Amino acid sequence: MSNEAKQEEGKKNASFLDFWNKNISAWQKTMSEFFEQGTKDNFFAAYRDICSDTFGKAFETGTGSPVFDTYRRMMDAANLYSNMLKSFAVFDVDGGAKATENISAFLDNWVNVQKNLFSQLFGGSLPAGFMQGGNLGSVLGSAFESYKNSLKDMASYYPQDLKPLIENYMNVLEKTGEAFQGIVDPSKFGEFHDSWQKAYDDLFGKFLQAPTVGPSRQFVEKLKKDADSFFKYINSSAEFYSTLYKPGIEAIEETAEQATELFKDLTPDSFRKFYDNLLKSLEMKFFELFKSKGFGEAMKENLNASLEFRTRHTEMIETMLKETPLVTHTEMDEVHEEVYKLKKRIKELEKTIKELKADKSK
Amino acid sequence: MAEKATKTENPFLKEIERLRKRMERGSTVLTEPLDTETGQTPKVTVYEEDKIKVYHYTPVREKLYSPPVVGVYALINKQYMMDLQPDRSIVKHLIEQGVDVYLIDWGYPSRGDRYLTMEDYIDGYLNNVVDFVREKNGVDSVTLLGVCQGGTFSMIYSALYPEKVKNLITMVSPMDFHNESGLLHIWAHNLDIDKLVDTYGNIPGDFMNAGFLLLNPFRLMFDKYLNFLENLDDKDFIANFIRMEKWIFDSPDQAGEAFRKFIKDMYHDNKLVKNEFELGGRKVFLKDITAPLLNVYARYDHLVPPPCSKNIAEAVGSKDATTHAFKTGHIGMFVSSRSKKEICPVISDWIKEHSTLDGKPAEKKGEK
Repeated sequence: MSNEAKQEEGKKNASFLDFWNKNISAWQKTMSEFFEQGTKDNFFAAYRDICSDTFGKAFETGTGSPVFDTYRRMMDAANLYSNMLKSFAVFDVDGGAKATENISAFLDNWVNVQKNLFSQLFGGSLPAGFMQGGNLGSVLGSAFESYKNSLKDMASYYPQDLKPLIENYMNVLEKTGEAFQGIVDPSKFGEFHDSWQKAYDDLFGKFLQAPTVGPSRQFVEKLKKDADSFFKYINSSAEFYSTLYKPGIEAIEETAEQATELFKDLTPDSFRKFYDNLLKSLEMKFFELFKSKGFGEAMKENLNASLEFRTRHTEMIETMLKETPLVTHTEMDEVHEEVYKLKKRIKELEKTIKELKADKSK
Repeated sequence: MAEKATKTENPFLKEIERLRKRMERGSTVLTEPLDTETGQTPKVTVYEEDKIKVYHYTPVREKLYSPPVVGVYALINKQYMMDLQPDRSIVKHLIEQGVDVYLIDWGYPSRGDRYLTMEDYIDGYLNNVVDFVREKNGVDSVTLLGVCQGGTFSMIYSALYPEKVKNLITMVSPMDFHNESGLLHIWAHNLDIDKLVDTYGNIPGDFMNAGFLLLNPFRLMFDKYLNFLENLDDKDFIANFIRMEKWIFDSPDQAGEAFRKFIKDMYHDNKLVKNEFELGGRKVFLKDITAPLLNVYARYDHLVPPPCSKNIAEAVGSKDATTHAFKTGHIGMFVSSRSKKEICPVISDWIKEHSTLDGKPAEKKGEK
């Protein structure tokens, strides 16, 4: 990949971070203005606008929106096969000698294409710095700095009781920022997600898990639990899928090493052997991963997070459905259980009758 | 002219030309009528209860071996794996040999079936089917042919109802669930089954499939389809590929309560082999299985690895117990060339040896 292409790819991957960076800055500005002016009306108007701006952008479908990026990654996954074929494009098959000279270019290109693909498939939640050996700190730097500064400024406005909480969160943030500096090892993914989870649990999670009061308490609590379980599920999924990145990259590198020898006598069959080597390597690396204790635990955690989210989400939806003439699963399950018991009872009675009749006819 | 000669000698160009021709022929294969029907062996539905059905395969011989065989497939995926394609069908092979075959189709559980238990399946449906076949054929007992999880069900049934089971055949059937050679077994230990069942009710077939595909993702989600492209011009290959594809993703949801007990008692606690398993308040002892047993397992089975199934003969109380291992995988048992040449004859010969024909004991293979 050329430098220009790398820069372009980096920009695309960074768009999601830029998006949130801008929103955090705007949110910070709004909050500062409110605390300076202390005008309630202005605050709510500004708060309404910032929410509309944030979520409106998040769900728009144009190029550059987070939704579009997610869709793009999905399409990249679907392009797995065609991307492999593209790797072969460097060959001029019309001239065998030229093809042999291009072996090195082919392998470089192939490794780059595959690494990029794996990055997009399994590390989609992580910033570009992780994927391309760059410095995450430089990508996240401005976002972190502005966020930390805003927290410092705002901390003075918070009640005294909340200050330890804020300080704790800032410590985690500081450590996370340090961990990002110059990290290129994919095994550090876990640390990134653990830090994220800890930071979430220490601040936003606490607000979402805090008790609620007032007439709509029950519904708001369900709403908060739904949101809380969603955030946990998202982080858990990102962590789980990022475990697949490392063995994938290792298999690609291993196959590329073997290929140099394999392609010395280039024939069409060399590609079959090359592919077989890749498949074997992938199978071996992933089998080792899949049977590891860590993978089993990550899988369990992710599945449980998804089940928790599903449960909370269903609870909230069913609460909303109470106001409609629609029947819910929970209500239907009560009926199903009764029908099941009745059918079982009828079958037992039918059997008894049959046995009694048989006895009578003897 | 000279340039043309060079080009045709270039092995890469030859390969590309071969590929082009294959794709061209392949487009014809895919757009012309293609027979991808499964389960083509003629059959009649003879019993129905709730969502389950029992098929009786139309005999092709005048004289049939007795007792009839009742095929008990797993709740996971469908029973037509035993009759997937006309030239690779265990069912077809058996009826051609004069074996009278019945096969249970467990159906597709819906949300209303989430409360069905293992007791409902074994003490209820399976027992009712066996009674029906016994009554219909005027016999005291039947030959049970259990496949995979259906084999586990058949072992439990044979231990609880020994008087109704003349012979027992287990194919790729798990009995000992505690081993580290299979990924499914390793992953199942981490499964919070209560949370899963309480959340979903029934376990979605797609959820099960995702787990099966993850066992070997590159082979099952990528290499398989590359193989499909490489054989695009082979009509028979494509037809059979489509049949298999249909079967793989034809995955019924799993009735929640039955699945909960199966995972807890088998995968988590390994109760069957420890003689601790209970059904409907009765303990199941493998030694209570006294019927002659044929156990057939696959050496390269990644779903039911050999350690799970190879020791059934030693665990049961049958005096006449035989074990056969074949160099194939879980699915290869049913559709490989080895299945037709080696596995089917072993099963049909064993059935014949343990049955009667015209009221007389059948001759053993090799006997005059």
